[in-house]
Amino acid sequence: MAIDVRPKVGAQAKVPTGGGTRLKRPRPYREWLTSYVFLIPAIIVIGGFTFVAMGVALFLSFFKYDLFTLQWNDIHNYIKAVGNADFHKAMLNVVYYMLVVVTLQTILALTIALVLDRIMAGRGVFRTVYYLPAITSSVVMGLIFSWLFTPGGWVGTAVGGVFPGLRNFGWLLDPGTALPAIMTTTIWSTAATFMIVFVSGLQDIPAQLYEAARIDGAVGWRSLWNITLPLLRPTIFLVTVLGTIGTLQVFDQVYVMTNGGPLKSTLTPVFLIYTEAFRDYSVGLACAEAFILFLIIFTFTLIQRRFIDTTIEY
Amino acid sequence: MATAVAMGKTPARGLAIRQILLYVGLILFGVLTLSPFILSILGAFKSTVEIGAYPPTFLPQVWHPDNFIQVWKLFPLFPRWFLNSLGLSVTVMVLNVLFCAMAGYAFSRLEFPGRNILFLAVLATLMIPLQVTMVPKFIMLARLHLVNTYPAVILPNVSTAAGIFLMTQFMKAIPKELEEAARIDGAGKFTTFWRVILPLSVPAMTALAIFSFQGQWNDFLWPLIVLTSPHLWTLPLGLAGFSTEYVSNTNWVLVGSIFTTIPMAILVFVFQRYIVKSVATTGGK
Amino acid sequence: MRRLRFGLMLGVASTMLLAACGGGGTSNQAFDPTTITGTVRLSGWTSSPSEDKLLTDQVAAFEAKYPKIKVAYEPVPQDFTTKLKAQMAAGTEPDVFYVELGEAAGFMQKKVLLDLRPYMAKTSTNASDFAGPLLGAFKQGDGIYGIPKDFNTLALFYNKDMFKAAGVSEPTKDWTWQDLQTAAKKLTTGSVYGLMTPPDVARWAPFVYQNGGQVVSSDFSKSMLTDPATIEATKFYTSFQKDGSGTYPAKLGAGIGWAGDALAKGRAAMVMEGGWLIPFMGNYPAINWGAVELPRGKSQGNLFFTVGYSISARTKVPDASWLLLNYLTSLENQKVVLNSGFALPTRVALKDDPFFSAHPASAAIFSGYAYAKPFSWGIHTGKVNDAVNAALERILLGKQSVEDSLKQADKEVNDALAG
Repeated sequence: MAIDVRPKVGAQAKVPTGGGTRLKRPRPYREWLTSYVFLIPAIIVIGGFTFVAMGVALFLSFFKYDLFTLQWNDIHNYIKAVGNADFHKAMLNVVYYMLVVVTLQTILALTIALVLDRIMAGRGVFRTVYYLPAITSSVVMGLIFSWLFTPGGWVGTAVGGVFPGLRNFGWLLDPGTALPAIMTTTIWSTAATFMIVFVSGLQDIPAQLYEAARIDGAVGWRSLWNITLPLLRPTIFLVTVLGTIGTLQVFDQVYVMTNGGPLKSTLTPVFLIYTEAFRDYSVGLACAEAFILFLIIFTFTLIQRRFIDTTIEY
Repeated sequence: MATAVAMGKTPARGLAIRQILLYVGLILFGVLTLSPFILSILGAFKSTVEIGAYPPTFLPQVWHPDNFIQVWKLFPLFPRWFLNSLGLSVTVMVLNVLFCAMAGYAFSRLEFPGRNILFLAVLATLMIPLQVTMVPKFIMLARLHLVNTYPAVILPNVSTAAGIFLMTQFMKAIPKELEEAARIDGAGKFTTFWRVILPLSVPAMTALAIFSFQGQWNDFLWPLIVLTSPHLWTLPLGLAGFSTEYVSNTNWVLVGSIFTTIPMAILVFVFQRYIVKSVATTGGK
Repeated sequence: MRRLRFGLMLGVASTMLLAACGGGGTSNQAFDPTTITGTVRLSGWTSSPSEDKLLTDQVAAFEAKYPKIKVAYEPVPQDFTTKLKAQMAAGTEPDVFYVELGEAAGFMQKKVLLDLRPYMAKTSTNASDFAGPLLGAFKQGDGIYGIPKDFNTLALFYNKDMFKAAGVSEPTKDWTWQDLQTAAKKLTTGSVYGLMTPPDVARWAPFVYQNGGQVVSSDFSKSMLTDPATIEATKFYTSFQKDGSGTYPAKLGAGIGWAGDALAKGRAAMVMEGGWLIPFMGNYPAINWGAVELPRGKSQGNLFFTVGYSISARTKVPDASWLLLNYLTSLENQKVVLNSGFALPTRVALKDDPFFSAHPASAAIFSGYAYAKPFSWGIHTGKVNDAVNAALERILLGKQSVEDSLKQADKEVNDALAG
C-alpha cells in the first residue's frame, strides 16, 4: 500500500491533478494514443483481474456453481451467507484479531522507534535485527511458532517456569488460546515494518521544534506528549490503516498453524471463503460472502481514509 | 537524534544511565526477536528424537549437520522450488516495475481524456481485498487454461495499484524542464520516458522492486490456489506441503524453513539501506 | 481426517513397491497394446520420497514394457483432492489419478470419470476378479469408473512391552469394550496414555457400528447421529479422554502428528490404525508391537478404506491410460502390495495367500473386512465428516455434552445431505 507519508517527493502535487504546465500540443491525438499505449499493461491487469473479476464474482454470487454446473440461485446465496454461523464466527474472530493486533503492533512499533530515536549509536544494527522477522515468509513463521507453541515446547517451558500447570498446555489446541497464539506470531513479524515507518516519521520532525520546546522547558515526557505524538499523528494513522487492511486478510498463519480450528476459533473470512470455494466448491456462496465482506471493508476504509486525508499533511 | 539534543540539559550521568537503560531494553527486545530464529536453527541440528524431547534441550546433545543434506537429498524438489520462487519473483519484480513506471509516466506527465477517472479507478482497487477477487480470478484463469502455469502467478501481479501510485507521485516531482530539453532535442515520448524519466526514477523503482520481490517470494495464498503440480510450486508452498508430510520430523521442517529464509535474509543484508528507505516511504507493502 | 489421509497416503505406496512385474491381462485380437502411443499424466498423493521412487520405478518398468507410451508422474503431497478438482475445473486434470472412496460418488455424479467397461473388455480384465464391495464404490448404474488398487481396515495396534510391564494380558480378537477400557486405564502411567482417541470420524465410526448404530441412514438421506446407539457409542469413545486414559496425538507435543507417532515414540500403549502403520513401525525397531482385530461391542464393527485408479472422462489417450491403470492393478502388482504390509490386495484371487498366516497384523486387518462398512456417506461425505469431527472435538474439549454436540451435528449433517 503506497500512501506516501512523507510528502517530500511530489508534496505539492495532489493526487490526480496531473501535469501542470500546458504547452502547445500540435497533435493532441497522438499524445492521447501514446498515453494509452503506456497504460495498456496496467489496464489489462488491473481492469481484467480486478474490475472484470469483481463483475464475475457478482454474477456468480447469484448462482449455484461447483465449477462444473451453473444454476440460477436468486439471492439464496446471500440469504445463506447472512445466516451462516461460520461466517459470523469468522467475522467476530477477525475483528477480535484486528483490534488486538493493530493496537499492540502499533504501540510496540512506536515504543521501539522512540527508543531507537534516543540512542547515541548502533541504530542500524538494531534496526536490521528487528527487521528480520518482517522478511520471513508467513509460512515459515507459522511453522516455527507452531513448533514453539506445541505442548511441552518452548513457550510451554517458558510459561511453565512461572505456572507449572501450563507446561504441557496445547496453546494451539485450545479454542481460547489458539487465536491469541496466532496474534503473537503476527505481531512478532509485523511490528518491525511499522517500527521503520515510525523511525522515519520521527526523523521528519524538525529539530528546531524540539529546540524551541526545550527553551520553553518542555523536555522528556512533556516533549513526547506535546510535540512528538501530535506531529506523528499522520504516521500513526497510516500504520493503523495498513495494519487494519493487513489483518482483515489474514490467511497464511491460519492455514499453517490451525486450519481454522480448534472449534473454528481461528476461522477467518479469507480462510472460510478459501475453503468454501476451493474445498467444498460452493463457489456462489463464497462469492456472496466475499461481496458482503467487501462492502463492510469498503465502508470501513472510506471512514478511515477520510481521517487520513484530513491529517496527512502537516 | 533530535531528542538526544533536546535532552542536552540533563546532567551527563543521568544521561549515561538513561542510555544504558535504553540499550538494555533494546537488547532484550532483540533477544526476543531473534530467539525463534536461534531456537529453530539449533532445532534443525537436533535428531528426530531430541527435537521431541521434553523438556526441550537448548543446545543439541549431538549435532546433526547431516539433517541439511538429508532434506536436500530426500526431497529433490527443494532446489526446484527455490528456482521457481526465484524465477517468479524476478519476473514479477521486473514486469511490475516496468509496467508501473509506464503507467506512472502516463498519469504524471501526459494529458489524455479520462486520465483522472482512470487514476481514481486504479486507486479504488487498493480498497478491494484479495478475498473478493480470488475466486473469479481463478475461474477466469481456468477458462484461459492458465491454471497450473507460471503465468497464472505472474499475470495478476504485474501492475499493482500501490506501485502505480508510488511511481506517479514520484514522477510528478521531476522538474518539467528536463523533459522539455529532451523534447527540443527531438525526442519522442518513448525516448523521453526511457532516457530521461526512468533514470531519474531509480529511487522509487528500487523501492518498488524490493517490495515486488519480497511480496512474491513470500506469497502463499495465490500460488496455493493456482499451482496444483508440485514441480511448479514455490518455496512457501513446497514447505507447507513438506511439513504435513513430515509431521514426525520437526527437525527437517526447521531445516526447510531455514532454506526458505536464508535467501531473503541475504538480500536484506545486501540491500539494507534501500529497504529501510523504501519501507519508510511505502509502509512496507 | 488429516491423519487418516496421512495413513491413506502411506497405504498408497503399496502398489508402487518394487519395479518389474509385467502383466496387464491378455490382449485380444482387436486390440494390440504394442501399437498404442501417447503421453499419460499420472497423479496421486505421496507421503515420502521413497514412495516417489517406488512409483517412478514402477512407471519405468511400464515404459520399458510399452516403449511407445510415456508417463508423466505428478505426485502431490498435500490437499490432493482440492488440487485435482481445481485441475478438473480448468480442464487440465491428469489422465490417470487416485480417487479416494469418499470422493468417488461425487466424481461419478459430475461425470468426470471415464467408464472403464469398454477398455476392460479390450484387455479381458474381469470385474469379478475384484472384491465386490470395493469395486462397488466405483460403480454407478452399470458403469465402472475406477479400479480399487488396495484397501485397508482398522486394527488395534499395541505395545507388547507396556502390556507386560502393566501386567495386563495382551488383547485378543475376542476383546470387549469393557476389556479395552480396563486395559487403557491400567496402561496409563506417567507420560504414556492407554489409547489414542482423536476427534476423527474414521476412528469413532467403528464404535458406532459395534454398538449397532449408524452414522447416516443406508440411503444417505438422513443423519443417524441422535440415534441412542450412536450416542452411547460416542459416550464410550470419548470416555477415555474423560477418565484420563486417552487423548489425541497433537496434545503429546512436538514430532507427534498422528497416532502412529504416539505408538512409535512410546507415548501410547494402544492405537487404532490400518496397514499403513506396519511399514512405518519398521523405522522404530525398539518398539515391540502387535495387532489384533478391533474389540467388539454388541457386535463386531469396522470401516474399510480404499483408493482406486480412475481415468479422466476427457482424456485424449484413453487406451494408453487404461494400459497403465491395468498394469498398476495387475495380479503381480497386488502381490507386491500384500507383501509390503502397507495395504491389502483388492483381487479376490489373493484372499487365501499364505502371506496372511505368517503376518498376523495383516491377517487381523483382513479379517476386519468381513464385517467392515465403507468409509463413505455418498456425495456429501466431506461435509458429513466435517460435522462429525467438529462434534467430537467439542466433546473432547469439554465444550458440550455428547447429546448437545451430536444434536448440533445432526442438524448440520441433515442440511448437508439435503444439498
